[in-house]
Amino acid sequence: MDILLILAYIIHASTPIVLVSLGELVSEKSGVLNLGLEGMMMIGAFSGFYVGYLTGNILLGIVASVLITGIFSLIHAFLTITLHSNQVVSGLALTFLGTGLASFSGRGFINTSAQSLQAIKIPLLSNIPILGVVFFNQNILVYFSYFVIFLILFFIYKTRPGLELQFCGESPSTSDTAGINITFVRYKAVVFGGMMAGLGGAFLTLADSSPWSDQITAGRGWIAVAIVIFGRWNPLLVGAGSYLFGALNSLQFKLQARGIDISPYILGMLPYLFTIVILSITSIKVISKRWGAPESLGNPYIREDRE
Amino acid sequence: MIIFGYYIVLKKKLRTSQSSRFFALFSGVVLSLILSGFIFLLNKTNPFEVFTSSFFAIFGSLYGITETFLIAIPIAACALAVGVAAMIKIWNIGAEGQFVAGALGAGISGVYFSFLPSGLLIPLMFTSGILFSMILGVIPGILKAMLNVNEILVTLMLNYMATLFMLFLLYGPLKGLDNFPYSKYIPDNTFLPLLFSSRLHVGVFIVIIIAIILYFFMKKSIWGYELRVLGESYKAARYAGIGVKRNIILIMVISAAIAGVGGILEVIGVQHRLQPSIAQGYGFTGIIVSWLSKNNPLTTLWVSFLIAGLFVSGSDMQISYSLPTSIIKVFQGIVFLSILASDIFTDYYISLEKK
Repeated sequence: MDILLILAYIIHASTPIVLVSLGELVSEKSGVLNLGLEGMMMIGAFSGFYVGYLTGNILLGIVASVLITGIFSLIHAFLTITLHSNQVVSGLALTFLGTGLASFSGRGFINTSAQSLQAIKIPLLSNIPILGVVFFNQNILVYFSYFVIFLILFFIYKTRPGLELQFCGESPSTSDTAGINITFVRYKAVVFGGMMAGLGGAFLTLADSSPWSDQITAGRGWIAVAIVIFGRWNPLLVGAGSYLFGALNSLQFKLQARGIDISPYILGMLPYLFTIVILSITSIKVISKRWGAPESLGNPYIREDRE
Repeated sequence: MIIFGYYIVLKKKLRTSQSSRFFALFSGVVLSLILSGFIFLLNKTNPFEVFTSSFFAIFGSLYGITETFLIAIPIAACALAVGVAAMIKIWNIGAEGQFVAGALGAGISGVYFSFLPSGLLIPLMFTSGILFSMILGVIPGILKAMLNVNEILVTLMLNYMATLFMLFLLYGPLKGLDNFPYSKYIPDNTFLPLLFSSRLHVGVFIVIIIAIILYFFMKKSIWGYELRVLGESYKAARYAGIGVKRNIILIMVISAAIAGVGGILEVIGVQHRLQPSIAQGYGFTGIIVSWLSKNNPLTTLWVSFLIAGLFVSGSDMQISYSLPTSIIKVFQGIVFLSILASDIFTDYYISLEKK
């Protein structure tokens, strides 16, 4: 009983990371690395909170955060795709701007909470022993995250636009020759990544019942960047990776509750250590060949420079 | 890209000239002033008033100038660190963590060996700070060299680990007397000498000397040349008999050590103890500064000074216009993105062509 509730909590707590990392996956598949996730999540968290708080309507808050963060991510798209700027630098600058803007606009709201999404039991499914409690007694954004995992899996591997997306990340010059509009595909991918980051941010303020604070994202955006790589750009693995991370994170509280006296800061280091270990294992040649990074990740495509 | 029936066509310049770089930087600054002006207008403050006030806060007094130099020290150290690694196309996103590690090494030895005479203690603090930060350099270095593990990710993770480890120490073994997460002060006789009776310490010369050495090392030495070859192509370097793995590890270690020096100077020059916010995002700022200065260590120095000015003007706005500290981050974001956007004038000709 106890353990099931913990598992259900892990699923809940991991959902923002699932959402954000799936968005980043799509963006990276198209060849654009976005290190601005932390900033975009902050924008999403604040705009969701603000609209939700003012209108008292959670759904409106979610829609606002998705739209606003989508627009915010256009900055990264414009700089890296149209102006061929460096993706690492642009992403970092976006993090500065996003966290800055969100905490600047939110300075009057610290420790205020908006209304929060409630769990909805899914009829029938929630009656399944064990799985029902863990997976099907959650809020609607959690259900949406399950859906998105499979949607992206299907989209990337089974649809034509999905394959075109992959082409753009693997070999832009070939895609160009094949008549794919790389600029447009990459813009769409980056904006999708932005919207998902916004949704992940909105989860924190509108589904997690956390009051607004400057530190609300607590590094989740950076974790999401790591999880995409950890999950070798595969939606299923990225989903699994997010839950694993969530599990490691809550292990921390679990051990403390049992009275095991380890500093929470030392335990807090574990997930990062674990990510480094997994990264190293998956970088071993035999393994990385099968699940490698998109070939042109991080490179702007400049038709005039084509060889 | 098409706008109103026109194509924006970018043509890469064969040579980038100093004048076009200056033009790019200038238009970036103008753009960022316009954009941040809007933020002030939204906040019902007169942007011109704020800008003049900030300008005088930075350049108007000896205090402003020395404060700006003071903040430029950690930023420059981190930016130089990132620049060394960038020479071989390695992204050291971990300057923040390496900075913390350097501060930890200096702080720990300063607190535990406070009985030593300063002639021994100061070198000990430097050595242990540098060793601590080197650990954070050697890990990503070895992983990159041996297994080709993405260094961006590893250094990013190590930032978190370093910060958490510092928190563990500050809430645990290193905690001072009054239950706050601060360590005890290091002995006064280890404090770095101050200049112009301000808070600015002699560490500023250490950073300048590091930059000059790096400049000659990167641009004039044979090893620097080899590293630039390595940065262009691992294959070419291998054919030329340049040890790829050895150099990757060495450079990561050197890079981490330079960021570590920044942390050490922050402890013995400014804070004189360890505290949770010691790094303040200097590492991340350093990454962007390094990129803005196109990896030229001497350029890094003055770019760091300008960016440090942002911090100083931010604290002025806090006091004079009661704006929150987060405004500094907003500015940094706007300035970086504007300069990044304008940087296109450095490398490309832009023309509009009718469809």
